[in-house]
Amino acid sequence: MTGQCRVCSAIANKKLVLFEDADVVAYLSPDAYSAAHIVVTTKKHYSELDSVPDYIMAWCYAIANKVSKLVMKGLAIQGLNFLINHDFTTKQHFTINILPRFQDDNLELGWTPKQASPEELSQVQKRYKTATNSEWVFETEEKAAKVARKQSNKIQGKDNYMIKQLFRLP
Amino acid sequence: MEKSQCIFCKIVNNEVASYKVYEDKECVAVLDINPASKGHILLIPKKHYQLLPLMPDETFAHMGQVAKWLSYAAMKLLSAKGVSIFGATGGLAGQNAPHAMLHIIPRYENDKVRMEPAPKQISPDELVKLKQKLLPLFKQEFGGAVIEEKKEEKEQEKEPGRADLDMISSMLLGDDKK
Repeated sequence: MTGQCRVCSAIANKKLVLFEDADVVAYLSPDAYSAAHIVVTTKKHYSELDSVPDYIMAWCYAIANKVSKLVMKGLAIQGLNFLINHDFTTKQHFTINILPRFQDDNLELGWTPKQASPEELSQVQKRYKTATNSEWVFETEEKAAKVARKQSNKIQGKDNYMIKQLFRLP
Repeated sequence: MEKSQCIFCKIVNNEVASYKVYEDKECVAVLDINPASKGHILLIPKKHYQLLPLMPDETFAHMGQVAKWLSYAAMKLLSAKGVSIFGATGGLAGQNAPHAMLHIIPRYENDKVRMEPAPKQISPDELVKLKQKLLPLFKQEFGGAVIEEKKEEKEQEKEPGRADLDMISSMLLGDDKK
């Protein structure tokens, strides 16, 4: 994916990088929604949202939160947006956008609220509930390593990573 | 706003009825009753934080994991084509509640949700200037993890403390009340 992906190219071009470690990168976006638009992203191009390991997703959010704090301290901003737009159909690189806001920046983000009947809401709630009835247990780095070891030994572990299995609908 | 009067704290504490779709020790997810699209979720930290960036990194990170699987749920269970996850800090950014939260908005064809503004090209000069301004702060926060041309200069700038953040918060919340 590295070839065509804009995010992969931005990461490779170190000029705009503000932070980088083994899993996560933050860089200034050259195609910006607002001045000082910062992108926080995974270093690796995962092809699906659910293939981003939970512990890396958590680290992305932690870095995004730190970046937000830094931007609040360092720039004279009048607001801040956190924005992810992820298309499930295009195997796009997962990114978090941190958008500092300024008076008259003409940035329009929003929606027109719709009316939803109690029946509709109950129905949607019921759908979600098929997978959310118990507390989720997230994948830690150690757990991922353990599962990988077990898989390479062709042993089925009891403590395999479980959330996805909740979505196997009857 | 007083914590005791916050409608979202009341939702968390079951003092107000809501359509809960997920709950654990740190956060609650409820359906927005005036949704942007089918399955629109408000993901709310149980503890009352007035602004998103005032949340501890660990709590926000936890919410990120929950948001990932709620997005996956919207895809699998509601056939969403994508997701927008939106957070606003300050009135100008669209914050209209005194309790930090993330909106998880399942996306569908022609849903008229406005989350993809046209990007503007930032000039290389401006990017360099911005980087120069931000990098010292990043270095202070992250130390060695920041990629940079080898230049060992001691930061004279003092770490702006919690008081600064609090001041900025009240400024942003002040905006909110206008």
